[in-house]
Amino acid sequence: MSKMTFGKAKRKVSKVMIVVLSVVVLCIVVFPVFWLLNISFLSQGGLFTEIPTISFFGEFFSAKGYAEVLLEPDIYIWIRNSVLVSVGAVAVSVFCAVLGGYALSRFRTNRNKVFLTMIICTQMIAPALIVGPAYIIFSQVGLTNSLIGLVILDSALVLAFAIWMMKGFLDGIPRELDEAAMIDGCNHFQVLTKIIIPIALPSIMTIVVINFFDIYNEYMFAMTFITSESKFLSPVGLSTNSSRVGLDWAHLLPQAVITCIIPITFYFIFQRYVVKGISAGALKG
Amino acid sequence: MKKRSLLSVALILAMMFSLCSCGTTPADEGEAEDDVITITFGSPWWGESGRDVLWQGFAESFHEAYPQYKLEGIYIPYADFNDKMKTLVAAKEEPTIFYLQEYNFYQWLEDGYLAPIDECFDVSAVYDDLAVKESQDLVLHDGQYYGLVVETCPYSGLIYNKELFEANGVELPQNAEEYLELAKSLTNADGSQYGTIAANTSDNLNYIMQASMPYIMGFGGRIADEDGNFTVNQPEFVEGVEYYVELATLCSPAFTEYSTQRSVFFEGKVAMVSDGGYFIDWAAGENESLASNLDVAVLPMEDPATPTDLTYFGLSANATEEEKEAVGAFLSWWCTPEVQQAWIESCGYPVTMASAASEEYRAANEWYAVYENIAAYGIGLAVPGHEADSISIRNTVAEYIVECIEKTDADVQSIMDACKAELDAEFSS
Amino acid sequence: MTNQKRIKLVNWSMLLPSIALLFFVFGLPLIKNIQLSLTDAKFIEKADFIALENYVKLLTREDFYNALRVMLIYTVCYTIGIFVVGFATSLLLEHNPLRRGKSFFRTMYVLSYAVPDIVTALIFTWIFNYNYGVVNYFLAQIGIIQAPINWLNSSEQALYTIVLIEIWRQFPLHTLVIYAGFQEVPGELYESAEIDGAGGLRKFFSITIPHLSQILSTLLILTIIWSFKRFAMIWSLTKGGPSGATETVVIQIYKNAFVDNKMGLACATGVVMLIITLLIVRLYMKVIKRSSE
Repeated sequence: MSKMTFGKAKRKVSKVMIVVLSVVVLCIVVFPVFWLLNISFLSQGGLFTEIPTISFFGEFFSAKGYAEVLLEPDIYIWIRNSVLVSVGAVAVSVFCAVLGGYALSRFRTNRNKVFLTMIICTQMIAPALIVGPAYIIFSQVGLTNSLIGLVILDSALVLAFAIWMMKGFLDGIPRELDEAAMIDGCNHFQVLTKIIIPIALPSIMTIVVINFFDIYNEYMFAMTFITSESKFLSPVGLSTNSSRVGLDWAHLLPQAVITCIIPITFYFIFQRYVVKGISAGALKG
Repeated sequence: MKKRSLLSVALILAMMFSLCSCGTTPADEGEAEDDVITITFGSPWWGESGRDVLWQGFAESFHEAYPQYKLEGIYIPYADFNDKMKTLVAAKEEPTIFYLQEYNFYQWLEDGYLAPIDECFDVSAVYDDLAVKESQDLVLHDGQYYGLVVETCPYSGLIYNKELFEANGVELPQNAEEYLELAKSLTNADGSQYGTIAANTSDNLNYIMQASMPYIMGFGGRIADEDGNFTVNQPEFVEGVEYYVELATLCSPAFTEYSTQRSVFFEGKVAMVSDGGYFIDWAAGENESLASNLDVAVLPMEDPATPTDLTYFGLSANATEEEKEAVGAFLSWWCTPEVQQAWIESCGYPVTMASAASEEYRAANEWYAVYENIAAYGIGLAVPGHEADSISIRNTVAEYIVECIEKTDADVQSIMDACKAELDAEFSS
Repeated sequence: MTNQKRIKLVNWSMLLPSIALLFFVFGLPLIKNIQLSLTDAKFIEKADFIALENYVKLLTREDFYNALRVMLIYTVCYTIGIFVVGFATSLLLEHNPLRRGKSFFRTMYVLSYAVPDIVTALIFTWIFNYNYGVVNYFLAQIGIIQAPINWLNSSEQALYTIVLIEIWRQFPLHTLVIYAGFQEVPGELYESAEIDGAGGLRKFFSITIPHLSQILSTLLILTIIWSFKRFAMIWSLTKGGPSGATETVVIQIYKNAFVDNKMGLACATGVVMLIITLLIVRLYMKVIKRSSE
């Protein structure tokens, strides 16, 4: 009898421990974001105090930086560019990935196996390795300093992973379904649009969300390929806020917060797809 | 449920686009006037707070003075100016004229970026009226000028906070030892006050050189002698580095990005800094009450040599005849007194024309004389004998200086010996 | 048209967009990269053919071995760290007893993945600031340290600090994948193990891990490849310094190409790095094959 209660107590203790640990991890995850928010509301003097300051109800609270940043037309243009490039590149990469994933999943020829290997191999090429040569090639066809050029680059960067995940998802959809549709007179494209895509929609959304983050986050190409200020993406706009004299923290920090708003909002809207899609068997290679 | 989330995304997007539509600049669309020739000018000034407004104003008044020409700004951030220029030239998209620094001159000449500016503007006609003729001579190659000097910015001005000096009851230092002692004594352990600021992180090697060379040169240290032999392990240079390490670790916000340290300065928490005249105009923009408390003296070093940033208008090698004509008009316009006066207000050190520093300007900014005087001892940033490799060499030296700062109890001599060995191996001619 | 032919056509038309895109962005530049690596190109001007001189220079440079070493330490620490964190967090999620706890914590844990690298770097320069940073302040307050720690600008710990920051930014993907893997382990296996009297740890190692092995091995190799490629965070935090302590091969390539005017050398470095990556992947595949046999 006493042993039973001891076991119960132990289970209870471990439950409490798990909750406590979960909250600790939560704090570690959330704290830096909170801290950014905090210091973005500090006046410059508040940044350089011996004791780190909580801005929200102190003498150093200042929303002046926000007011000034939000009046700058540049920042909206940069965010719009980022969204345009991300949406465009996600659309291109998902389009290619659905088609390619279907072909690789349904037509298992030896040549397709070679293609799959080659596609995966592009994942091993570090972007830094091709940034110079790609610049030369893109400049010859007039795709430097162009958002379309970035869409092409970014969609290719995430494509291999997208195709691979797509193939994994589609492998999980029984082929009997397509065969039944074929008997009803559908061709492959109709099977894809009428049967496969509706079933795979949550998985496709997963790819959309993950690709969106990766493309919004992409920095090296955005920094190198875009030269005019009106075409900057928002992470680049953030990093070029420096001059001979230095960083303008009062404006930089609010700008950083604003840069995060799009991906974070996007995440909270679509987060359930990520989880669903991944559990449907992402990395099954 | 699904519909709702899609709807909300569409809503957000729609909101953003409507916000943007009012913010789009007409610059991209260009104007319908066919007979207007547009030249582009690439420089970091278009994006620097204060100077961006000034330069937009320049562009407008130039168009007013010469309606057939137009100047369009291309903002290239200072931190990666060279990388950006390189990619622009590679894509044949470089601006017609651009911000050219003396230490880039040799490399860019070698790489074929530059056309002689004499082809569109007669430098010799204004030569006698230039503020610092030596600066102009540095871009003379094969009897032709490849740029028109825009500014001569010596860094060895000791900018100090008068209020802080008075509050602590201290006087200006008269030599290097006094300077260090004073910087130490003005530094509080709790971070409420610092003697000076000194670049001490690797995130921007430019700043390391900019901040350390006034002291190192003040001890007589040079990166290379006139014959191009590297002298970074000579006693003068090592002494200078040791001195700088003390400043960077004991008298300034340690291990903090230089740009952040400057923000600390603008908060009025720092007593002294060695920097160029533009710093005062900048401080006025950041903290007006501080700026009125600033004054400038000469950095009290034994050797009066001062590292000097020299900037020119460079002309693209691919400029067309039409564009050259427009550039010629722009440069003549640039040399007029009104423009020069507006420009020197923003600079605070010698600019293109001597006339820029008018009597009124001098009276209003007495400290200008300091920069004018030390400009005579200015030494450009190019490394003698290795001009085309200047940037790489300076980066290498900066990396070793950072090493001296970052390692506690570093043996500066042996680190600089290693620096010399690397320079010899990489850049020996 | 025969059926066979039609399938071939469909197959091609479906694969064509992907292959064209990848060829244009990866294939062509890679060829150009190899070509440039055999020249003395400074940036992209016309350059002379110098055969393997760049490769000889590269392999005799101390810098390159330093970069390899840094990359190796970085990859090992990052991979171990991110898997430990990924496992720990997904276990916490799996065993969360609260009614809506799982979905709440799962949602919140992914937050950091939505913060762009550049912003992450910015945040952590402040959090780890030597003088004004909240971490140093906190550690000093609870008495762990006497003097502030130089997190980001010391050749001794800068690399490890960056690894910490990278893990913070990247771990959610690992958590999600591992957690998803947990869901696929059939519950009966645990039940029967419990009847046999297996404890939590034993269940974990004898049921969970083997069941996840396929997903984990894929995730592992992806993590390694991805960690080779990380650029933005290091670039904006330290630019590879101080004294090359955080200069990975990728950073070195970028520096050579865009700062030091040595495009030829940068391309040669790139080729060598690609070969190393391919070798590692091949070796890994072999090991996986052998262990699964």
